[in-house]
Amino acid sequence: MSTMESIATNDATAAGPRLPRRGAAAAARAWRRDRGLVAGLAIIALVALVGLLAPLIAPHPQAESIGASLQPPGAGHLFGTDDVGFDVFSRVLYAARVDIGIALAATALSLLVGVPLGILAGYTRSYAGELAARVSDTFQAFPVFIVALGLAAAAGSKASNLVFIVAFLNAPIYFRLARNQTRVLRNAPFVEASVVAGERTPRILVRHVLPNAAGPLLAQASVNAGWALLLTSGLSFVGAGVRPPTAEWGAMIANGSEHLLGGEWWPTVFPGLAIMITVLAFGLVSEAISKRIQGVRDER
Amino acid sequence: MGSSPSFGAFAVRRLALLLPQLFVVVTAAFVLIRLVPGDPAANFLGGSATQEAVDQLRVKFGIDQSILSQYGEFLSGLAHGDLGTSWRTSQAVTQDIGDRFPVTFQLITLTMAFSLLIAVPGGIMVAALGRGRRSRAGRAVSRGYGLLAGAMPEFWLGLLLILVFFVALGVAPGPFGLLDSDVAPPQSITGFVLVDALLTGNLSAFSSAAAHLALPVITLTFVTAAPLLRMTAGEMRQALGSDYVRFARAMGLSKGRVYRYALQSTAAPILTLAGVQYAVLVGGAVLIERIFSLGGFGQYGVEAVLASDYPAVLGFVTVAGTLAFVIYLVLDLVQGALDPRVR
Repeated sequence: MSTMESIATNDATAAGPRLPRRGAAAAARAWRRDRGLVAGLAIIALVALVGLLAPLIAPHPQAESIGASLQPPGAGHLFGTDDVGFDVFSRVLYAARVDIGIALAATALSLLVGVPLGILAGYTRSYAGELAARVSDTFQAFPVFIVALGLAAAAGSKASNLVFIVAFLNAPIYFRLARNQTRVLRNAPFVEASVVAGERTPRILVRHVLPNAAGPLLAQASVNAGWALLLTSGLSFVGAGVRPPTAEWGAMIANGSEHLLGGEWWPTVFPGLAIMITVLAFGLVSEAISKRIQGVRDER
Repeated sequence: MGSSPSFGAFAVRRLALLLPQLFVVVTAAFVLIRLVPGDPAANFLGGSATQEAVDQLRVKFGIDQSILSQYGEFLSGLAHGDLGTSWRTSQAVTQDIGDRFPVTFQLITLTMAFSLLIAVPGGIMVAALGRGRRSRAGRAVSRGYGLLAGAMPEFWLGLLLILVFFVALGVAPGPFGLLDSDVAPPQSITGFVLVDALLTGNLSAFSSAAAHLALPVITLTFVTAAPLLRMTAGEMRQALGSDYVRFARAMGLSKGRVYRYALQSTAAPILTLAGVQYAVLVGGAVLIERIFSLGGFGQYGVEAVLASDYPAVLGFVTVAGTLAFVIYLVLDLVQGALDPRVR
């Protein structure tokens, strides 16, 4: 490593690096330029839209035989038919509402529970918060899928139960993250300044702490929405989640897999592709948010 | 900087924590399973059962007692190594789980071994690309692989592999258990089929089991190795750019030695992630065992869940949680042995 190089770097700094432009418009431009983020959000929006509009755009109802069973993909049934003659394409579309609905509802619920509690626990530094953190650590040490299975067994498998189960499993993650973020932010000069200025605690938490903790929480939320989808489809795949005839991607794969050995691949392959693409989209969004936070940190 | 406590003292302190921790774990398992609303007896019998039959079953299985006395019962059973009797198989749950556990342990251990074998050298290679175009390409590949592996449902990947390698190409055995039906299982010594086959010199059983384990292990390894690879690449990159590595290079140390130093400092985060993943694999194995009909602990758990077999479900969750804590314990001990600052 040469001194030349470091001198060169210093020169560049002296000349002034290109500072990122400030302001909301510039920020929005930077976000829009992130291809991963745009692609991820577009896919999520598309899947959600497909789910919402399924009854309008699906060529067939989700549970109505359209003729011969196990027909390979072809005209009239793009993704083929399953073992009772349901149209796989229509069911993949209908399943979007269940899968992304559960994923988003569960993620929203766990955010709503975990974040306020985490911020309170982090800000007040109470023993109750410490205890809650320890308890949630213990629960998080269990293999997630096994706890989910146990809960599904105990609660009975219904879509609404799945939302609660997935939310229950994810809430500790936000609790912990929000708590850690708040513990750091609590000592930040701008928070101390508002305390000294006599601002009331709820206002400080909402105006100063929450916005600054939001980035990592959102990055986590996007990953978790993907996990929620994987968990939902996994539970349904083993029969402990959404049950047929309701269309759900994991349950569809389970049904299709019974005919896989006979070479009828389509009822297995297409729903899996739908899961993969959707989870990938959540991953892209999360990655983009994390990258931005990292960038902002480096700037400071 | 004061001198670090000895590893022995650290290990004793850490081990002393295990018992209270396990108490918390089994309590958590009980709370999870028994405090969730829903009537075990009614679930077990199904929707059409009469109230009378449900009540009879509640008495028979002792779930008519208060939740506290059930908890006491559960704890005293555990103290004697007793997890109750399965409602479904009418066998001791410990026996059921003990019979099946080696299958799972073998599966996840092989997966972890292969994941580390792929991820650590792979990560070092990506990091070694240095700066510039090749490095960007290397990182793009590891990023793409990471995103893909994180998005693929492992049960679906397993099915795809069956489709390609068994159904289409016919090079892998079918998903019908651990051994071909015409191969006699080796005498059970350790419970691990591969080990038992080797110990008894039963080579046909060994190759059959290895062939049957190939697809399940590849499936789980594909998913498990990705985060490890990314972590290794990132940490190594940082280590290779650090002052002490520059210094080591300036001293004229050999390349191999420099990499060894860099790797040493990245061992801790890699091991931590590997430990966490090992615990997660216990859950991931559930789906894979089911697809390949391996008859392991996870498959037993799913069957128990589907049958609402409460003692078995509770035993399943308890054992899985305990296992996770033992893994974390071993992880802490290894970290303590490697790095005096942890002690």
